[in-house]
Amino acid sequence: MFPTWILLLIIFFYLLLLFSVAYLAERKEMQGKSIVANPYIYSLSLAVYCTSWTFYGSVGKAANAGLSFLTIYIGPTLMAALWWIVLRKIVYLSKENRITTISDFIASRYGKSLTLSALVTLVAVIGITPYLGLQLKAIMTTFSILSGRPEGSHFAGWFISLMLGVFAVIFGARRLDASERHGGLVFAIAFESAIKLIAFLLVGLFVTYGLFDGFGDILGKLHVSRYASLTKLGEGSNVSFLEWTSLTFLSMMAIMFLPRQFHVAVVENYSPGHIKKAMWLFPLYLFLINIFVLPIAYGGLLLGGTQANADYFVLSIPLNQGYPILALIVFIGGFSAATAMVIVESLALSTMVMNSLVMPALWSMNAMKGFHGVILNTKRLIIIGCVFLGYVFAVHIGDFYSLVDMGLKSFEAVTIFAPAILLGLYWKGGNKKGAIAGIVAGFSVWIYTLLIPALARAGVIHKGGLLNAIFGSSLLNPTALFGLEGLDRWSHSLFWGIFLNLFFFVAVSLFTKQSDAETRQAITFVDSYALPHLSHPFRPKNVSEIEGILEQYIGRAEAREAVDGFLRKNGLTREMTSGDWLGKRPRGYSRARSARRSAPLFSRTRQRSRMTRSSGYRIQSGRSRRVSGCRARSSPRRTGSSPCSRNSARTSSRAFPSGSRRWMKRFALPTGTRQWK
Amino acid sequence: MRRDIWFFLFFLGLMFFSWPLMGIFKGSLIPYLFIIWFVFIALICITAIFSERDEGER
Repeated sequence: MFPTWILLLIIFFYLLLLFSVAYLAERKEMQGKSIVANPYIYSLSLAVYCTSWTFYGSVGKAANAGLSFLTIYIGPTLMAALWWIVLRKIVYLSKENRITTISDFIASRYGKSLTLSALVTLVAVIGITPYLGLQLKAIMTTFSILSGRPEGSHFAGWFISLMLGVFAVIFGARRLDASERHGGLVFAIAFESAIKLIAFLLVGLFVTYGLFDGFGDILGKLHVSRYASLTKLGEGSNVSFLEWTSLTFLSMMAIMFLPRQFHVAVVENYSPGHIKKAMWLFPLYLFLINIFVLPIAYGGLLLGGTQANADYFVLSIPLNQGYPILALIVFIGGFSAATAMVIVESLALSTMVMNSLVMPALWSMNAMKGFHGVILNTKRLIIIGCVFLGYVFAVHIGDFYSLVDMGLKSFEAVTIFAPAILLGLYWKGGNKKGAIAGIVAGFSVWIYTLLIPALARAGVIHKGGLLNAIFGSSLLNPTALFGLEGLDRWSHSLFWGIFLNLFFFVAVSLFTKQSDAETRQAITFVDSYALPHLSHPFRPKNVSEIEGILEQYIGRAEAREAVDGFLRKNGLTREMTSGDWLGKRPRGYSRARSARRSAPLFSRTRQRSRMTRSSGYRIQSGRSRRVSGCRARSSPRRTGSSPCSRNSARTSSRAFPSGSRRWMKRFALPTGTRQWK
Repeated sequence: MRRDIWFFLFFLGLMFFSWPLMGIFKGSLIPYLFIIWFVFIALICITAIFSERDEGER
């Protein structure tokens, strides 16, 4: 056992190391020598998929249900084979339309609907909270196992939640940047992926070759024990092939549509070439981290462990065998698995909440001075709020469920987005009303068949009266809806959820009309590779127009200040720049003088451009093309459903051809005051 | 052509990791799953490398 203060100190130093790693990566990126923009870091960052569920929960699942834990990793492996077709298209569309969250993506596809964006955000926050709780529960439980003092774990959980929230704020919301790219954070996540893999391999080697004589020895002993059924599937085991198929499908959807996966795979993607490498590097990572799950699970049972405590075999085996240092390494590995998830997920959720729920409410204040400060601090509060929401779930409800149970609920929740996204990518007929109807139907099924039984079991809602009548009913029983019996709860919920979701999505889409905006977006998304740009290019004609555009991003007062500053610096007045000023050089300005005067601004822009030089995407005249050049961050960003883009179609990336971008760059603002997102 | 290869691989994987093919190997399911998993990853890797080379030549 370790004293509590030593464990807290270790956590503190580990987080300090993480800060240093992230800071180093960010500095390198600022210097134009990015160590993040490569396929290996990209693949490792995708391994944020492997949370404490993988680290602890997989062993627990293997000890209780045999091979079914593999579905959570085989699903993403299968899906990876389609990434070059599906993920590449999503990345392409996201870069082209400045989309930074999954809610923006769905909303953008269906005519930039704010209602749809808010609905997706709501589903994601409610659906992901158990998953966040899972991570914090794992941290608190392992902390109390190592310290031997269960009473201190809640305080430790609170302290760690705060630290993680602060980390996410520092590397995710230090400034407002609509690109939502965080090189430092991504590098830290990749670093954590390496740590958790090494820690798991170490404990796996210890159990397999230190305590037993290899895989054969463990499997041989298991076959003659009472746990022999754990090596089977289907008949004679407690996992049916239907459950296997359902879990595989759920994990295939989760790898695509979990908000954090969308963030690292889409938003943080630097080049399409990285996807191709990640298609096999990421599954290889999954393969490696799972090699020793069965030996640890079966070894733990053979050593006298119980199935009820199997979630923490990874930690308890080295501890009980007298290897506290190994147990400490395992604790750090598990901690890194949990922290990576909490940080990225809270960041992704906060961006969704900010764009879809908070910004529309705050937008009326955009004329206020210091508006960007208000939204930046609001975003920081939301990040910390998301982390603490998970903490509350872990403390009050988490005790009633295993790690895998909590994770699978979130997998089911994000599967609700699958029809709207996948059909939206390949079927132009889908419309906003259909998407809303499908998501509402899927979410209702999720609440009814998974959440209500879970809350009833935890005692949050009391069984009795009406609820008892519902549970006893042959038609409305949440675990056997409409009399459908014989399915495990995941298959049951998945069947009804997908069935009703698809039914309402397709039926409502077929019987209702698309608006013009929806039709335009449908064509843009479905024919993304085939069509030339559809919208009319917009070129600002004078300073007032530029000021109007800037105003939508940074507020009226800041926009005016920025424009006035630029004019003052260049000895210009508003009168001199009236009319079609940008179309021609102001009178009295030679080409050389004009270039000399704007040089400092351009050099600043160039400096910032170096930060994104490694980007493989470039927006030009409405088309994303892979070029060796760079993209200046000073150009305005747009998301599919942000109030900015809703209020003005002019802010579309398509609406900013390279010519107007050049003029926008002339009004480059100090970093951190440029955009609200 | 390349696009078809990814679909082919995906459905091949689906076949290998589902019943009834897994039922055939029920006696040695654990080695089967891990070997097929590794082979599947290797197939994706090889296809990706050839695809990259192909694009490079073009």
